[in-house]
Amino acid sequence: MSAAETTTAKVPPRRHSSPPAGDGRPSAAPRRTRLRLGQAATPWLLLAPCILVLVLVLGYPLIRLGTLSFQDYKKPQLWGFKPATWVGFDNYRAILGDSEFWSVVVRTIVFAGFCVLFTMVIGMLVALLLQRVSPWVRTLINIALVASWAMPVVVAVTVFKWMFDSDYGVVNWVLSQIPGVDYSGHNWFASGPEGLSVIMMQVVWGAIPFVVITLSAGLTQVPKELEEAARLDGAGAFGVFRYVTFPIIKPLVVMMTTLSVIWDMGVFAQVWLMRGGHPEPEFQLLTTYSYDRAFGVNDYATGSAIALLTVLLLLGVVAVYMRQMLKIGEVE
Amino acid sequence: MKRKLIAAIGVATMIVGVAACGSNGDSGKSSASSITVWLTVDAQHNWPELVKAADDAIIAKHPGLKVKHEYYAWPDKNAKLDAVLATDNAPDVVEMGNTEMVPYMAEGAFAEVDPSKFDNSGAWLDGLKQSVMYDGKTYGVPYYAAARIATWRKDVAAAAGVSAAPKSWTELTGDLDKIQAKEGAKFSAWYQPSRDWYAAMSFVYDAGGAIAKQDGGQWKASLEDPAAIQGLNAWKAIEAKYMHGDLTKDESDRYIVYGQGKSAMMYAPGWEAPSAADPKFDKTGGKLKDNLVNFVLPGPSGKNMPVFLGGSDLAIPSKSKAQDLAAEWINDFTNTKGQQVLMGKGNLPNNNTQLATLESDPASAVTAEAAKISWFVPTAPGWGTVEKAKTLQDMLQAIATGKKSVEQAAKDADSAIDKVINVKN
Amino acid sequence: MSAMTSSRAHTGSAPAVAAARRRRNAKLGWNALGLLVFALAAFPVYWMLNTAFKPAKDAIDPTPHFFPYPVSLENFRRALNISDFWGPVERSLIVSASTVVIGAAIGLLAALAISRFAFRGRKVVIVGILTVQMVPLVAMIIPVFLLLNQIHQIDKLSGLVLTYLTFILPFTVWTLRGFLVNIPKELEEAAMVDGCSRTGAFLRVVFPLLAPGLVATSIYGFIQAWNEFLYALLVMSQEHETATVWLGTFTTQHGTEYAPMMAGSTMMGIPVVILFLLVQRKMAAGLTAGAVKG
Repeated sequence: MSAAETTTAKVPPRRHSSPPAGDGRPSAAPRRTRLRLGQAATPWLLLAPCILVLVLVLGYPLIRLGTLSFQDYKKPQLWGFKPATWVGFDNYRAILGDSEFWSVVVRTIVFAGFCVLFTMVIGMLVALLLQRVSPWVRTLINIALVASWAMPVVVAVTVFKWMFDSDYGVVNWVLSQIPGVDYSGHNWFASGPEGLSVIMMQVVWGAIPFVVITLSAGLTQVPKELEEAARLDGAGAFGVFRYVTFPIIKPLVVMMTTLSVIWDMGVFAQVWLMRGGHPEPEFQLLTTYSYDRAFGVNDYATGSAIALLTVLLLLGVVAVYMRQMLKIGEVE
Repeated sequence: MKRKLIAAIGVATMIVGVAACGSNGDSGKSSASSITVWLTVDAQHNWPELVKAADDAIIAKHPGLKVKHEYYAWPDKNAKLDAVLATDNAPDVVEMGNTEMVPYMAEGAFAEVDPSKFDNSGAWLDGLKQSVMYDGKTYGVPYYAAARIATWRKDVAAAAGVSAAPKSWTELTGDLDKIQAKEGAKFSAWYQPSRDWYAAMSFVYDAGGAIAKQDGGQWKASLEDPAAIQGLNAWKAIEAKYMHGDLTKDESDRYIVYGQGKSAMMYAPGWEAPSAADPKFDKTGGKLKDNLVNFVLPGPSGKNMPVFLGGSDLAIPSKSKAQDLAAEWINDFTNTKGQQVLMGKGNLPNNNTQLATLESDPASAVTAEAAKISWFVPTAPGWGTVEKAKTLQDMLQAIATGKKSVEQAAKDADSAIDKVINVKN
Repeated sequence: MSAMTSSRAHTGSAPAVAAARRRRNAKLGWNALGLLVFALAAFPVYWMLNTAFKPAKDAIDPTPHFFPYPVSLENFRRALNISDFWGPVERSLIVSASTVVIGAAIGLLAALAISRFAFRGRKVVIVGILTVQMVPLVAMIIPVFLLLNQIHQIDKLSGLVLTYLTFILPFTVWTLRGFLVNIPKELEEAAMVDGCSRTGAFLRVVFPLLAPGLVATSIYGFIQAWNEFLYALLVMSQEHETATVWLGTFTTQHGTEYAPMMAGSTMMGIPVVILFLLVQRKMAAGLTAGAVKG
């Protein structure tokens, strides 16, 4: 979730149209020239601890990830009994030539795609619904959303595993109450697609609150008069949404979709725990696959190469994100 | 502005102070004032008193010594071990499955031990002794061996009109059919988790098949051979007819499931039945304690089912900083008295001297009898990788859930095994 | 006459009444839908509590019991019995609190730098900090493990704190920046005219205005650190495991003991949920403050 709430802070359309008054630029301008000489170092000193941490724990490992992926690095190297040797592109050749890797890639993309789609669509619908219900219903929904938002992933996974248990799970029981349907003893994790759908439900359930809460905040920015005017002009509910509401919150939606893609491509704990720490082949996503290669089969180099390929795969999404960031940078 | 700078430095200093509070000072050092022992959860759940006795014995000799314990489930243990061996926090004693030793010994992960320092080392069971030897040197101490036996509930059998434990495969399936019919479709006449490959492979070996065969120094997977296929089919029939629990599970919580009372029979290491009957796990209202009956599992071939002769060894990582104390603890844990405790839990001892006493004791005669026909995993250089990749488990689950045919699943598993079985990792 | 008036009155207001009724009906429909959403969203939490508080035997009854009756604490006892619970909780608290405090301090400094100073490279820093959250942290686990090993931070809480800082710093910096930008410099200057030192002005004027932002970022950081699983699993030994790993191993090793597992989940999840609920108003305000006035 790390980037989540930042969106709220940076995307809203308003800030582009009305330059922030508090940016301090007008009043700072004369001072800046005065201070530049002596104080150039101060902001860097203030930034130092933050940058130090980020470079140490993120920058350096990122480089290490790259070098690892070109090495032969297994248990003896990890334990320091043998030096790592360079193997060029061998790891990548092995991975890219492995049909299992490609099926994992496709599975990950499909899984993340549906997660994002459901998260955004349902999140949007609930946010719109929240504007239409009575205050007490809104409060109830808000409490439920906040509760599922705050729920630690490990806890949520455990609860979902229990709800979908084949023998004593409540979901099977409820479904079996439908006449003509017998789901008792049904095993949701016997098949990969079905099991991943359950995991998807859990991911979406956990991701919706953030989307709803952020979009709700965004929706309050939509001028009521505009909607009213559109309605008077004969636009239907969908028309109003399509031509008035959506364009206003669109930047918000784009940002949240981008972030959702990044998070949903990075789903790990849900799959890992739901499958008891050992996802079967048809449950492997890029993250678990990389982890499994590294810490399961002790091929740390191949695991790193897969991780790096995952990052590369995300680059397209990153590009969108970066463009948004640069826009903000311009406003600064 | 200078003040701002000073304030910044002040805050930074505070951060450093807080960082110091946040760290956990004592965790890093592993001096000889303490040793860390890694065992599997089997010991934690089933013979904690033996662990305690060994701790007491060594502390009596070295007052002030602290013995720390960590317990891991079998499937998680080695991943954790591999990671920790990279650090300077290596444990001093670690339990290893007898099939897991080879790669670690070959890579130099374990320290050599002197067998003469351990009780009964002259009479160690062959299977276990071999598993701790590499290049003529000894790198571990046998802990115990386990044979699998069948256990069922005589109350459930009697309710279905069955009075005696089965002696042949036909009798067994006939009895299970009756029990299954009597108890209904939600009940498992035989709770046999599909991912329990030790049981499934017994069917393969019973039919004359093998996981892999050696040919001119090279290993080749042989699950596609007709004999192995026949064994897998017999196993699949059992799963389909009698196993109505979760088909995606392994055997690690079998005794807990069995304790819930929704199954009649299981095929498991000797200690599992008593554990299921423990009031902690027995959810039937105490029925298990008096109704569990052990018997030797007959195989479809007409002989007794070949059992996987599993076992555990204890090894000392070469990075341990307290190797002498570790060896001492191991001996306190595996001495003759300790083995007696383990035998009382339904296990086989680590030595032939004590094994001889088993057969005369009616409580353990079934285990001793079952152990006579056994099989063992291929002693191939890449076998450890096969186990870690869970190839067999995934194959069995695919068969049991009907996702793949027996032939297809065996073929896929063979090609996956062939890729790694001759490769030294 | 009276009939006429009433009928006229009636015809006169009919559309209005109908519209009102339609609106009421629509509202009813929306509310019903809203309640359905509430039920779906809340069900997992309800089911967790329900299972945790009922006798263990009821939990494995194929026909579910929808209310924990009789209420039993047996599952909690069993969960606490299986392995030490308070140790992991204490460690999680230490890690989360340290992460929050250090994160807020470092983040505040950085936020000050990018909101109160104009300097060359400022834009690069801003974009850099924001880009950092793009890196999927799961992908970094192998080299981070090697790094922590190199600097002897494996199996140490400080190693975890260091790692978690990178999770929360970008958010903290950005949110605090949003608050700082909204505090007019004139306020500080006025205080300084009144005789405050710069630090004094900062502490007395800026800091109180910053408080909601600090609360929001602190809670966010706390929850991130409290919930993290993967790094804690790999970095910490069992002796020093954190609360999420405690529950995670419970789940993988005692997969069948659902009722105690739900009790464990309750103990782990509810405090966070309560904390979150208590401050959610403030947090939402904090978050949207950045959004609206950014």
